[in-house]
Amino acid sequence: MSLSPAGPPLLSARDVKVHLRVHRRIVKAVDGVDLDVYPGQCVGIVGESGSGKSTLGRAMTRLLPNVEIAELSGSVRFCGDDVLAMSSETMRALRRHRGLSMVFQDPLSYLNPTLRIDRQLAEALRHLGDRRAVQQKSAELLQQVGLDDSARILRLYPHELSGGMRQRVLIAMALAPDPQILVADEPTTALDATVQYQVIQTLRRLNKERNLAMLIITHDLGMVAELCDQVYVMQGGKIVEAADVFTLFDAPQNAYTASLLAAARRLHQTKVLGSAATP
Amino acid sequence: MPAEPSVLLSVPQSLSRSRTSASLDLLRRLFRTRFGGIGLIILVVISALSAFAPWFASNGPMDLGSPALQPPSWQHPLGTDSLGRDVRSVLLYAGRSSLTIGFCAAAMAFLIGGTIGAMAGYFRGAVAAVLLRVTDLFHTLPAIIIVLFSVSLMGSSFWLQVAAVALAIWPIEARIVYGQFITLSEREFVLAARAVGLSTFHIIFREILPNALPTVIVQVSLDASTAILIEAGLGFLGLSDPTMPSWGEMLNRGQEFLELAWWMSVFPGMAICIAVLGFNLFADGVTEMFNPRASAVAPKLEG
Amino acid sequence: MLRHIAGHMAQAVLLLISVVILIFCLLQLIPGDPIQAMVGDMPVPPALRASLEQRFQLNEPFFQRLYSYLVNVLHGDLGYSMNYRRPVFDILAERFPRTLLLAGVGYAFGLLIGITIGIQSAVTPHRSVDQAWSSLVLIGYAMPTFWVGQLLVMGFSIHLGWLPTQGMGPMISRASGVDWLLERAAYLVLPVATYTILETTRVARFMRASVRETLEQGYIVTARQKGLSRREIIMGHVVRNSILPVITVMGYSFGTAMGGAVLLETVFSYPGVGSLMVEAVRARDTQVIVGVVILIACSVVVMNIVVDLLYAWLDPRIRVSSAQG
Repeated sequence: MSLSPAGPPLLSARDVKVHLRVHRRIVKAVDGVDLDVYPGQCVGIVGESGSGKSTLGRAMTRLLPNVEIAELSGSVRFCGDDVLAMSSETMRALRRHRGLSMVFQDPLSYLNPTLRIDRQLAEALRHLGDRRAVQQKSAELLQQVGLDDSARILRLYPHELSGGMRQRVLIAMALAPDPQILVADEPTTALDATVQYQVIQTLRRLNKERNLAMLIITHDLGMVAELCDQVYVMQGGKIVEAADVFTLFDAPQNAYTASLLAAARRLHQTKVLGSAATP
Repeated sequence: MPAEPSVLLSVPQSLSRSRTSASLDLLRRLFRTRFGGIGLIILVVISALSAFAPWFASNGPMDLGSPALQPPSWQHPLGTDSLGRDVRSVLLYAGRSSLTIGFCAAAMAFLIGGTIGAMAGYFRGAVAAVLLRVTDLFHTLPAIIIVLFSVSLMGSSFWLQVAAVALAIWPIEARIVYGQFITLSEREFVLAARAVGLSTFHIIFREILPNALPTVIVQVSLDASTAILIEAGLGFLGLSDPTMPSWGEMLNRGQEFLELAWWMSVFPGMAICIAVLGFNLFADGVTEMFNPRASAVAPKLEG
Repeated sequence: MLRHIAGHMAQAVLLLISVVILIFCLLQLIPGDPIQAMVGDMPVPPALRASLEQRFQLNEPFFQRLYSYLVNVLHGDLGYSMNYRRPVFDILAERFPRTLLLAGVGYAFGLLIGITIGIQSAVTPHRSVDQAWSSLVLIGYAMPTFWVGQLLVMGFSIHLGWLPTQGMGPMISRASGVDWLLERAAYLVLPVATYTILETTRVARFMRASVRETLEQGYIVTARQKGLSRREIIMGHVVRNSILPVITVMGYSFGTAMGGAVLLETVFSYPGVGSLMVEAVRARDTQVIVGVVILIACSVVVMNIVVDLLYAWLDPRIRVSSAQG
C-alpha cells in the first residue's frame, strides 16, 4: 500500500470527455476528468448510478459498449502511451502483452456459456505458445485467485460454477498478461455478501503481494474503505473530490461526498442493528 | 420492452382529446423510424388502389374484349392476358381479394390464436399444457399442407379460404400472445393491480392487453403478409375461389405462358412482393418505435 | 442427457399419434358419402361399395374404427388410391426420396448461405453493407417462392436456354455414369436454387438478429479485452452462440421447406410428394392426401428430434451436469 507515490503514474487520464448520443439527446457521461493511478496503488472511483464512473472506466480501457459516441476526447496515458489515440492493432498488442485488463459486474454474462473454462483461459494465454505452458499457467492463475482445485475447475462450464468462482475466474483471466494494473467495475455488486468478502480478499491479496495497481469503480463505500488508498468521487460526469482514503472518510471537503458517506453510515447502522435503528 | 403501464387506470375523461393527439404523435414516431413510414404508405396506397379499382382501371375485370397476349403498350401498360383482359385492371381488382383475404385471415388467426394464447398464459398449469400441445400440433404441419387439406375438405369459397389460411397461422399468434402474457403478468403493475383486488377481466383487458398491443400489431401485420403469400400459393395451384380474381390465380394463368407472355407472371408477382414488403416494413417500423435498440450503431469488435 | 432425448422422442411419438387421430376425426366430418370421398370422382359400383364397407369396417362404432386406423398406419398401411390404382404407401415411397433430394439439398445450401449472410450483415462495421444485404434479404423474403421459380425459369431456361424448364430428367436418355449424373443435375439446378433462395432469406434475417443479440453479451467484451482479433472473436464466440436460436427453429423451417415443395414441384413439374399432394387435392383422392400429411408430419417430427440432439451437443447448459458450488 503506497500512500505517497513515487515516480510517474502508471495510468493517467487528462480531460477525458465521453459524450454519448442517446435517443437524439447528448448525454455527457464523462465531462472532463483527470485521474492518476500510481504503481501498486489502489484507487477507487465512487459515485451513484449515472455518475459516469462505469463509462469512465470503460473509456479508459477502450471497452465502451455499442452506443453512439458523440465525442470522445482527452488522453489516457498508460506507461507513457496514449491509449485513446492508438490504432486497434497497437491496442490489441498492448492488451495481450502488457494488459489493461478489466473485470465487470455480472460474471455470468461475461463468460461464454458454451465453452469450458480452460478454453476461455487459454485464449488469454496464446502468447505462451505450447499447450503445456498454457495449461500450467492456467492452473497457476487460478491458484493466484484462490481457486486451488484448478484441475477440476478448468474442465467445467461457467454455469457449473458459483458466482464468486466465476468472478475469480474472470480476475484470473485479467491477470493472464501479467499486468501492472487491474480495472474492476462493480466487481462484487452481483454477488452474495459472503462471496463478496472472498473476492475483496482476493483483490487485496493481489494488490499487496504482486504490487498490482487497481482502479476500483464502485458505489460500495465499504469496499473502498477496505481496499483503496486514493479515492475519487464522481458526480454528473465530473470529479468532485479526490483525496486519500483516510482524509475522505474523516474530513470530506465536498457536500456531495459528505452526503454519500452519511447515507452509507445510515445503511450500515440499519444492517447491523436492524430496523429499530432506522431514524 | 413494451410501453410503460397504461394510463387507462387513471383519468378517463381526458381520454378523448388526448387520444387524437396521441395518435398523431405515434404517427410522427413511426415516420421517424427507418422504413416504418414507407411501409405504412405502401399499405395505404395499394389498399386505396384496390378499393377504388374502378377509378384506376381502364376496364372491368371481366372484360374480355381486348386482343389477347399483348405485351405492355400505351393502351395496356401491363399487357393483356390469355383471356384478353387488361392485366393492369385485373391486377387492381385482384388486389381486393388478395388483400382482404390476407387481412381477414390475419385477424381471424389473431382471434383464435390470441384467445388460446391468452387463456394458456393467464391460467397456466394444466390448461396451458393442453393448449400448448394443441398449438404445437398445428405448428408441426407446414402452412400450405394445412391449407390444402382444409380446402380439399371444405371447398374454397372466400370465407373458407380465409378460415383455411387462419387455421395455418394461428399457432404463431398463440405463442406470441402466450409469451406476452407470461412476461407481462410478472411485471409490477399487474402484481399491483392484483394486490389492489382488481378483477381478472379488468387485469386482462385494461392492464395486460394495452401493453401487449405493440407486439400484437407487429405480429398481425407479419401474419397478414404471410397470409397473402399463402393465399397466393393457393391461387397459383388453381384452388382458390374461381369467381374472384386474385394475384395467385393470375400467376396460375401465367404459368402456361411463361415463354410467350412474361408480363402475365411478372406483374402479379411484383404486386404480391410490394404488399408483403409494405406489411413487413410497417411491422419493422412499429418494432423499432417501441424497442429503440441501438440499431443505428455498428458493433465494436476491435480496438 | 439420454433421458432428456428419450423424453423428447416420447413427446414426438405422442405428437404424431395426435396428428393421425386429428386427421381421422376431421375425415369423419366430411359431409356426404364416405365411400365416395374415398374413391374420388368416380362412380362406385355396388360390389365395390360392399367390399370397401367391409374392409374399412364402416359400420363399426367410432372408436373401433379409430383403433383399426391407427394400427394400420403403424403398419404402414395408408390405404389405397383409386386414382393411381396403387397402395398409398408405395406411391409415397417412390416420390418422397425425390422431394427429399430437392428440398434437402436446397435447404442445406440455404442454411449455409443464410447463416453466412446473417453474420456478415450483423458484424460489418460499414452500415451500408448491412443495409444492402438486409434490403436484398427482405425483398427476397417478400417474393413468393413459386414466383421466384417462375422468374428463374423465364430467365435461365427460356431466355438464355441454359437449363431445362421442367421435369426430373430427359424423356429418353442413353447416358450413363457421370454423364447421367450431369444430365440429371441440370434439371435440378433451378429448383434447388429456388429452394436455396427461399431458405436463405428466412435464415439470414433470423441469424442477423441473433448475432446482434450475441454482440451485446458480456463475453464479447471479455474477448475484446483479451486482445483477440475481430476474426477470432467472430469465429470463436459469435458464431457458435448465435447459431443456437437458429437451430431451435430448424425443425419447423424444414417443415416450411417441405411445404414449399408443393408449390415448387408444380412450377417445375417435378414428380415428388408436393405435386402428388396437388394432384390428389384436384382428384379428391382423400387417401393420398392423408398419406402425404402424415408423411410430412413425420418428417418434421424426425427433424425436430435431430435438432434436439444437435442443440444438446452445442449448448452445454441443457446437458445434465454435476453442478458444484
